[in-house]
Amino acid sequence: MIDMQTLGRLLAHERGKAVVTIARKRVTVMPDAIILSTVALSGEESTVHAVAIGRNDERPRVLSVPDPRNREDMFGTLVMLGGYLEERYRECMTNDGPPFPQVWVPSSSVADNIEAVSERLRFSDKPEDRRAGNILAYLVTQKEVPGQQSLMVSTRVLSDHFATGQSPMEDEHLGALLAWVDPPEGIPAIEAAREAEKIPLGASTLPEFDKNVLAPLVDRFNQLGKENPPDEEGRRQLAAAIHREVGNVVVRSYEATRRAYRIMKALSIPDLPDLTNLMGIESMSFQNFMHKIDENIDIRVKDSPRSAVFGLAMRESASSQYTAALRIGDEMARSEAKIAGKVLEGILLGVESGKTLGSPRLVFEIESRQECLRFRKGDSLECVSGPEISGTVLSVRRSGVSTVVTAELVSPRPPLLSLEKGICLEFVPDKPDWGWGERTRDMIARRLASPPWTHAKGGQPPKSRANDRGDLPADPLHAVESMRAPK
Amino acid sequence: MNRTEKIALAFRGKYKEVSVGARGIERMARNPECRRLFALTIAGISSRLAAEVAYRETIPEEQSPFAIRTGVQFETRLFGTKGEEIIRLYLEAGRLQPGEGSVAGVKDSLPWRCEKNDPGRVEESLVFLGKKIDGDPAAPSLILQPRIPISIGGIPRVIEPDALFASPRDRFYRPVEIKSYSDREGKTSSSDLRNACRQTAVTVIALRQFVYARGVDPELIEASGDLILRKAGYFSARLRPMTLKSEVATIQRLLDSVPGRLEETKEVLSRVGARTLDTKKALDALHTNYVDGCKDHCALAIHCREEARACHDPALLGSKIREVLLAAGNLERVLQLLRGTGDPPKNEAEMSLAHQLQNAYAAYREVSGFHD
Repeated sequence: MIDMQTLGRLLAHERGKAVVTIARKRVTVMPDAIILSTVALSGEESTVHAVAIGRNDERPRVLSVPDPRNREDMFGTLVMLGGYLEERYRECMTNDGPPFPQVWVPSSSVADNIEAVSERLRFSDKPEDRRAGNILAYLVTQKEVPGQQSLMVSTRVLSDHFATGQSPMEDEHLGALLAWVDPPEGIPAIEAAREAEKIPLGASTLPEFDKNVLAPLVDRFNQLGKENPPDEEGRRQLAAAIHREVGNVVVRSYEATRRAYRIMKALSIPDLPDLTNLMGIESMSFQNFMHKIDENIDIRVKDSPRSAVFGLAMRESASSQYTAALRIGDEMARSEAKIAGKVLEGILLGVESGKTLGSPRLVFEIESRQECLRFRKGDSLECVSGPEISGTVLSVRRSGVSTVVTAELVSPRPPLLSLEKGICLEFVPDKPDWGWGERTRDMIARRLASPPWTHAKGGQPPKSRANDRGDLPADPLHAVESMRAPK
Repeated sequence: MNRTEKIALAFRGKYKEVSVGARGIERMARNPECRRLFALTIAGISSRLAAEVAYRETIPEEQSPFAIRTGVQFETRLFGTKGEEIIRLYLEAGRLQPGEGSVAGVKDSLPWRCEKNDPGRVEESLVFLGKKIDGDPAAPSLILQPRIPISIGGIPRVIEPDALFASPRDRFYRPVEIKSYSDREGKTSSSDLRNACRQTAVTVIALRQFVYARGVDPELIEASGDLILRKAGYFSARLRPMTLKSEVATIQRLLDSVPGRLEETKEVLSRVGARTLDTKKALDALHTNYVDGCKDHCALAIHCREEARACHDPALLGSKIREVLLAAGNLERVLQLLRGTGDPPKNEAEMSLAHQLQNAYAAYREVSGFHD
């Protein structure tokens, strides 16, 4: 099937410039957003050699360590990073602050690097290290939640809104992606991207840079430290040189991230209608998180079975609601879903009233000319093209080149009864239910108030009810065989 | 020397042979449709060397000295304790009982790497393997850096797995690969794991070939192996048993295809008047299969991408999109089908594709107001 991403890439390839593939902006671009970029030591993904951080309208503050293999030094820098972020988080807890922090990073590799160091910090036995790890943990747990608005991975955000004429893997290089989205004057995007990808903008440095520049400095730094007495002045100078070199690398990716932020800020497309709901959910998640921070509760690296259940349920809820929100709120997403048969569009053939088991019911029929339709008996229908009508599919049958979907009205009656035959209606399988997550959490909490036997120590499966009634046959096979009709 | 081996040797031309080993075979398996990579690997030529000699390209460094040192340090820690650290992992995992765990293949003096190509190491390794298959209780539990032969479609080569392990209760050895990737359990890089598993699968095949030559059913050797990974941020190790059924099947299929493919390659080269792979003409004649993952492992990736651009290969937009657009063959044709220009659709597949493209485009224009 040709989806909008495939079509978009084709058009971008043809035009030599990225094309927009959405009708509604899927992220809120916060004016107080923070830009954050990191660089790890090659081969050590759970280290940070340098960090650049700052508000989107200011030059970055750059932190670095001469050798991140020195755990104490590196953790010290990460504690400073954690402290800076915590100050920003606290601003969000004030009345006139933003509802939650928003942090922009260049690409998935930097997001993964932050996740790896956050985990490592949280295993430390020092409380200040764990606190820094916990502060970073908010971003990394949010990163996997569909529709989240806190951690903006620039390559993903831009790819969600634009299609380029290159492969998704190449889009992971922020410089190459920006070359398509915002090509330099007079240079084809494809050539600009080719040049841009020679300069890394992720969490790693080029092997040649490491070999010719960084490794000699770091090695010399370590060598001077082993001398007796250590050459402290020499080490200071080398530390400054390392800071300059890795600082240049990380500031480059910081500036590229800032550019991505500005592009998204300037993108003049209306917001997804449910963006306010997504922000509301985000704010609640953030408040819950800060409550744990204030209570000095460590954010565990590995979920317990109980927290995994909650986490999974919330993640599934977020995914369902976000998909539903896109389908309803973004005309491009709905169009794509229509082609895929996940949105029903057709004309109203008629409405019939009847009774089922004494209860009145209304049945309506929709005739669709869609080539592909993925609705079947039992599916829900929610009207999005006008009146608020909800129904349940009773049957789907082909009728020549059309498909007729018969559905029973769930609610409410008057809008359906007032519709004229022949009117064109559009239905989606579900609408976002922003309270579903909370209700599910409450239900799980009630069910798990006593641990299920599968997770209880020495747990035994519950007794069979049949045994309690004492009517289990002694020979079940004979009992079943004896039910056969005599030949 | 059999015919397949002669062809492979002839391809080498003025290249010096590089032992591509299990890692080279694994990389070839990442893109089995690429004839260029296939021919170079089988002939024992690295893609980097081919880029430098045939295309006169300067290929930048592939690995950072920091990453190399981490790998070496990790391996040294594991091998340098005469394998004790590895034995400890197996004891902790309950796969060895206390008192078990003899180690072989260790050289007392460094640098043992200088003895890498010593044919004696192959003989020594085969002696240990032979003891185990014969049920000799003196067979070691752990063999460090054995060198074992493997037949690549009839071409004899030698691979050097990091280790082989078998408890006294196991019928035969299983491969052990040591990787300095960080072990983050479920968050360990899936592509790193996949590549490591494929590399380990090559050793499974070599072991199966060994037992088969001894008249034993090769299926006796399970398609499984052990990875030893590094705890994130430390040099302590973690043992991860892995099942390798699909990886072994993939590699086996690839190796079985070698003789036929080599003949085809020879035929293709002869059509352009080439006999060796050390010229641009020869490499250009070989079909490539550029995919976006090529950059991870092949020095010719940038070159092949330029070729893909020149012939408007849909792979430029990603492997998934290439699958969707397969009916059209190239991007120029795809755009013709989209616009309804050029020749009418030649077959049902093109008709279906044209229809889908035009439908999607109409929907896109309706919503976005996009104008050409």
